[in-house]
Amino acid sequence: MSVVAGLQEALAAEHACVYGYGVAGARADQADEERARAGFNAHRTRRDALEQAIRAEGAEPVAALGAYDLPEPTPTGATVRAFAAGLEDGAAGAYADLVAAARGPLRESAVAWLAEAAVRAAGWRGSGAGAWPGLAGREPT
Amino acid sequence: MPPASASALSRRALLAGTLGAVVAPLVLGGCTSDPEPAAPTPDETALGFTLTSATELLAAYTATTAAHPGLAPRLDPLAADHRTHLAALGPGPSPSPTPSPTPSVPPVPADPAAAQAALTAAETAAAAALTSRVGPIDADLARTLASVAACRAAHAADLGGAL
Repeated sequence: MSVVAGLQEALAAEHACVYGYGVAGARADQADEERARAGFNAHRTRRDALEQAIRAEGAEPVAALGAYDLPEPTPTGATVRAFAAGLEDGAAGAYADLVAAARGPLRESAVAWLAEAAVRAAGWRGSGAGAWPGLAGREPT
Repeated sequence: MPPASASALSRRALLAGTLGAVVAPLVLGGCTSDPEPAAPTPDETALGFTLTSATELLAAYTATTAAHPGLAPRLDPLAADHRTHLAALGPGPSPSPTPSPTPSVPPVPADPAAAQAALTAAETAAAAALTSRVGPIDADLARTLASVAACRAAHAADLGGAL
């Protein structure tokens, strides 16, 4: 995967997170609202940074989809937590791919972004356990 | 050649970059009379650090749980992740086993909260040290070790009350 393709995959994941957190924030329990708001802001900031990085590579950033598939029934209350953890898993997978695609400072950043997604996913799940953040389907055995 | 087991294939695929980097200098080195052993490659250094630090972290969890059994429900699932890393990334069964060095374990604080804080600090330090080693290594190994670093960061956030 080229560096630009890795950045575009990460941006596509961030578009999905921004959309998903918009849904999650509107439907979360009151106790989860601050967590949802913080996640939404973090993903929006990262999305903007990735768009800049892609333009700096001379490419056109991928656009957000008009809508994203949501689980049925639409998550509410406690099920918002599992939904948001899944959004973070998606971002973690994209950043794991970017780690492999990138070199130098961008790779180091991608490692940090993968860790941030893993920590947010752990926050939604209420536990930091999980051996392979970002490697779903390609864990070493 | 007999077929290898799926897990051996998988480990081989993961470590292909590392092993290739080990073999190539040996082959090329045959053209010279240089008697110096090849310096470890960045892949070997990063993988070796991952295994050493996972062994040390696991030993620290074991010592902490022995000193503070009340922490076990919180600590055991996290310790299991380190065992998973060692099982997947370690050298596997050796035909002529050599005793592994006993990891150095710092003394466990007598106060359970302080003991948990010490594990938090150890996870944070191990994540940061691993992150600093993935820059120059093989792409697939980097992806795997970045995941190990992210796991340690999530452990630190959990133990540090930052989830």
